[in-house]
Amino acid sequence: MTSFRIDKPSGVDFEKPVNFTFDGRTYRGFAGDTVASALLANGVHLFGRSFKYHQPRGVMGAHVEEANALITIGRGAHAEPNLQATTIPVTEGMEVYSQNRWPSLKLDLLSINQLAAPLLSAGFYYKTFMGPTKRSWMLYEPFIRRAAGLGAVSTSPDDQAYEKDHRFCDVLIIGGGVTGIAAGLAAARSGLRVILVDDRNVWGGQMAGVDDDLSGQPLDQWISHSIRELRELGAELLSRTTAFGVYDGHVHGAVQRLADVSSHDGVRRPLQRFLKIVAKHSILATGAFENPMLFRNNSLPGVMLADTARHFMDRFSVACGKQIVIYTNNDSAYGAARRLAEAGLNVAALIDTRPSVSAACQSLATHIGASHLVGWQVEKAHGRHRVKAVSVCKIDDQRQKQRISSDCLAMSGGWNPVVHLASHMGMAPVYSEPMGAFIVDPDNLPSHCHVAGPVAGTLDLPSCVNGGFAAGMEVARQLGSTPPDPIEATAMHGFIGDWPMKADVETLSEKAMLDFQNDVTLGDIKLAVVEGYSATEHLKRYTTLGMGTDQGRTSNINAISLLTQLTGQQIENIRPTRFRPPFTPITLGALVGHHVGDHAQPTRLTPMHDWHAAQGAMMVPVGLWWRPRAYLKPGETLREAYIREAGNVRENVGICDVSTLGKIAVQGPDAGVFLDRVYTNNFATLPVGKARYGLMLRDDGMVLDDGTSWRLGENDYLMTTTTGGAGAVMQHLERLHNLYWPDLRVSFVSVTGQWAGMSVAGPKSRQVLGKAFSGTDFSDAALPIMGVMSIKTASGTILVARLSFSGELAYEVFCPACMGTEIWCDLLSHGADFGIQPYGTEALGALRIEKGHVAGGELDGRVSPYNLRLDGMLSKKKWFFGKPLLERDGLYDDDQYRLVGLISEDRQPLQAGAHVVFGDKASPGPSQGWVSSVTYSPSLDEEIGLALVKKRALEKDTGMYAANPVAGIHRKVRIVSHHFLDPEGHRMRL
Amino acid sequence: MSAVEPMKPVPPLTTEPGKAGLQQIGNNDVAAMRLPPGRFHVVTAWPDSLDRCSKALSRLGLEVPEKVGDAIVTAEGSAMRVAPGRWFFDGLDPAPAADGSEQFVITDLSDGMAMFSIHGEKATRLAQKLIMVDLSGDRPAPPVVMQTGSSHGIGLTMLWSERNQFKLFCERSYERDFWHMLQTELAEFTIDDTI
Amino acid sequence: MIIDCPCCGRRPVSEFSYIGDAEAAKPDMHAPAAEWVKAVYTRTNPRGMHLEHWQHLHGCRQFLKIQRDTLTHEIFSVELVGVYASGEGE
Repeated sequence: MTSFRIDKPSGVDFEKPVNFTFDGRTYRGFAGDTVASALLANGVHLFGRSFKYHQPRGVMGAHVEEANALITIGRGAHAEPNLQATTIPVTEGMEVYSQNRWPSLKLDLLSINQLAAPLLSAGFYYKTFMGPTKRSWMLYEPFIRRAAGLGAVSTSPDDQAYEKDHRFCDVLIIGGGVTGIAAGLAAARSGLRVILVDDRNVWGGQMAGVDDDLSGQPLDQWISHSIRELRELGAELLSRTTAFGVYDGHVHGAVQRLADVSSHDGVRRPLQRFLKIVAKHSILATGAFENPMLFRNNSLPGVMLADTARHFMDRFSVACGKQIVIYTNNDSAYGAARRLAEAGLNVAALIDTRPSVSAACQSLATHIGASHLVGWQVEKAHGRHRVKAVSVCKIDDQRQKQRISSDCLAMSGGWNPVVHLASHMGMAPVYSEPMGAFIVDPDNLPSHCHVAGPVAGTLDLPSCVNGGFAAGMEVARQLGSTPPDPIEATAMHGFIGDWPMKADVETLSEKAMLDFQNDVTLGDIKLAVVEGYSATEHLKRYTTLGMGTDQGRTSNINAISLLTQLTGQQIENIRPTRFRPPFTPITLGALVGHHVGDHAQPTRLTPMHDWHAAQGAMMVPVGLWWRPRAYLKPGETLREAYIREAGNVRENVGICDVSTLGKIAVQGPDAGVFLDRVYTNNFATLPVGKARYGLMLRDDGMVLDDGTSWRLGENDYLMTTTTGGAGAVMQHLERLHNLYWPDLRVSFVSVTGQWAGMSVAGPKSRQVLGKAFSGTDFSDAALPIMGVMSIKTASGTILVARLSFSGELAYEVFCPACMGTEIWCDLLSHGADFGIQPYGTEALGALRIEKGHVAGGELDGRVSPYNLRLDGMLSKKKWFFGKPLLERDGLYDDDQYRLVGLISEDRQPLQAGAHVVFGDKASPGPSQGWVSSVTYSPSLDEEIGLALVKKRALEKDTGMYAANPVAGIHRKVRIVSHHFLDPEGHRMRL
Repeated sequence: MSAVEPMKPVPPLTTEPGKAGLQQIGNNDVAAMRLPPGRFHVVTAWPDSLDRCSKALSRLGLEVPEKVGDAIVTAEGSAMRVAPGRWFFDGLDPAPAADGSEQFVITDLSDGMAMFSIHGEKATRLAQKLIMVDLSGDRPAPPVVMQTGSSHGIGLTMLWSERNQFKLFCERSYERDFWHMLQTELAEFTIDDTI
Repeated sequence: MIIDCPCCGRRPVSEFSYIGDAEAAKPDMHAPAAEWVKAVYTRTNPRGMHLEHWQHLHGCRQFLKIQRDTLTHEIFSVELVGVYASGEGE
């Protein structure tokens, strides 16, 4: 045992040593230690360097209120920075690193920032480093940025596993301290489903390890018995779990830490689990944080919160110092002093800022033999890397001074309840006069939210236990459960009454640290108020007080207290800054779970996918789908491949996987009537065995989607949509049916996965089909344009529709998905004699652009049929959805766009998204339209594109350009009809 | 055309989507199986034809669940009511019931669904990760059908047939992705997180 | 947010799709353009109680009329509308 451990049972198991490293040096701790307790036990007090000034910092708080002992665990891809040393249990082989120092923690050259302190005060980046020129800040900024900061994040992908899960309960109790445990007992005893969460790895919260009396039983025994009883009653106890946020619908977000380092045994276990917890009721029992006191050098290592010093003793058998001085403005520190002294630690002095204290406090000081200075304050702590002495003076007679040796200054500025989660649901904290702190307003709580313990305004042990139990009973009552027998806890020692007094700002040093994490001093607050930033939200943003990972846990209340004195405002009228989730930092990996890399979003594969992959096709994501972009032959570039593929379609025949098209079965006696209302062109007269291309509009007349619908039977249609539009179209149909025409007897079922689809296109396509399906007549008479034929085979019915997207003689072959690869391979082998080649999306695009067919690039939701030159498809005889708003004059004026073709005059490729302009590169002038799709045209041997250009601009005869200023490209273009090839459509009529 | 750089292709699994053959992974606590495709139909009726539709189906010996969420599970297959006017039939073939009177329609999705089974003592715990519905309360209780977006972002129909048995259905194109996700979850399943 | 779907029970909002203001008219086919303009574009967008349509997209796909407070997200009523409007088919 090192000299900083005491011989006292605690949560540490001295039979189980644990070795770990800190900045490369090996230390020994024990099972049950946190990194902080193990290092303190080894006499290490220097944990890090502060954010701005690089001051030496050590442990100040007991748990998540720790602002400065921030460490990084692990290296490389698994490094996790900004972890609080007070919250991480040590494990064998753990690698711990300090942060924000160079070259080392002890000799940090960047602490020279302290000399620059006057230049780095509040809001400095608005006031300093502004000259000599306007752009000078850009020169200083990289240096300033490099010199400040906390941990470094790894830039390698995090390959660790994270998990997500759901939990449900009658009551979620947030906080596993004595209050939460009592609440859990009441609820569980009345038969409710209970979930209890706490972010520590032990139960009992701040009181873990304390053996004081509670109703005649040692407290730590009460805690362990209660936990056992909760387990037996079926409660779910989640330790190392932070409830980080409260959301609508009684939903809570929590992250459970299952481990801190990846396992090394080859089994892939999750590091953390993100839980969505839906609770009928919740009890907030989150306790309170202690406040620091304000004096010069109050941030030195060795200066810590009073109850923290006690907590390290009780929970970890760690002595934080050999010469402890307690500095307080309230009674609670006397409780800490008592326990420290009872454990055999030397409490040398008790400094109390109040003019007088109770008899109980006086007798305790006498009893433990500490020098008791009432009405005194600490002026300054002395020491370089650790406190070694404190200077104190009498408050009303500053000439009376003393210098007291001390290696641990334990300060208590009162307590500040952890109200954050109530704030998430919009319940602003209220100031409680008796408590001298902000608590949750009990009158402002929804009926399913409850509070107990310090957040409800009670600080002493028996009141917390009783209040917790009462909250649990109230939940039971509201849920109609048999309430348990009530309890009435009592304690021998509690907080000994009386209330904290706030320090007089006039007596405090300007260098007193207020926000320990962001290096915000008392002087910064004064400066901000002088400059007018005196509202709490302004103060935060101007000084950075309350930012960072600390979020003001140990600084908000002191700042508010100072504000009242500096501005004369009443504390009741000051609202703390609004707290939002997450309560403490959470790693993004936990929220994301498995959805990383290939699983960032779901992946959809066509039935023929494996065939494409086996061919080595270049695949491209199209929404959630993977489609073959081109089938590159060895040595071919993408451009060469699609030129070859497209050319082969025009000359011979190609086959393309179009399974990704949305397919919807529209069925029912009113299916025809419905389609007729939904498409702009006539569908009521579509005969069985025929397909028709249709245009679908939104309620504002803009084009929603286009596709073909095939009439397979009297009441049976197969609608196809664009790949990307499938979901939107389905919703559109369902909405129109349910909200406009609910009496129509029509049904919609998505059959996208049911059918594999392939397009067989080219002058020889008929021959290929004839060979593959010998016995079936594919002549023009048997299967005219837009005809649909069904071929019954032993394995299923195959549909062949004569539709052309490419402009060639073409057929769409749909078969049940399980037959997809078989039919695909069949067509390929029968087509070999005719030069069949598969073609991908790149060639598919080139072909349709040559024909001027619109697709995704044009259908961006902003265009009307008139813009696309599809106004011929608008029936004049019937009503269709979207028609009324098409009658707006503005849709036809001279500023409206019209679809045109572009040819790049200098034979350089155009870019989709380029703007069409009149002017040259130097002064292009306003946009006259935009380029929507581009390709190299194998048929024309030109670089072409489709564009939407203003009518007005088209009437001018001057040249135009496609302007891409972002890339610095400016191309001269010639405007032509968008039907580049075969405008009469002869080729598909073969 | 598009300036987007293509991502690398999805590596194929050892078995192909839709191909027959069972692939089971897991342990005694919970296992998942990939099922071969089978008969699957959707029957849709309208408010005034529901009765007639139920009668037509029961003439086939197909008992029809009454309320949305109800499921009837037999050795041959199951009938699930997934919406006020819609049933799914898994394994059972309602096609012969089509009465040509236009009172209801049948859609064949036999090729369009991927199917999986989850079973074992801890099957409910695994299923709980997929759906934000309390599977440990009084209701829902098996046999029941639930449709959900699922925590994987893949639309799922979940048939909870008996205490330790689930059958999951999703659109066929998601099959490989969903199987990958199930494998990942199973591999990490045996964490004991009590202290 | 959690919505209590009459068919499927309590489900997270991610399963639903917001359709729009339920009080916006659904004009008759042959209603004049002015009525359609109003139905498509005019909204009161209240701060507070709002009657709106949602679809349970990743569930039963039914349409719901929901009374919700746009400030607090508290839901006061959920009703099945559309083809299977409450009272029919159950």
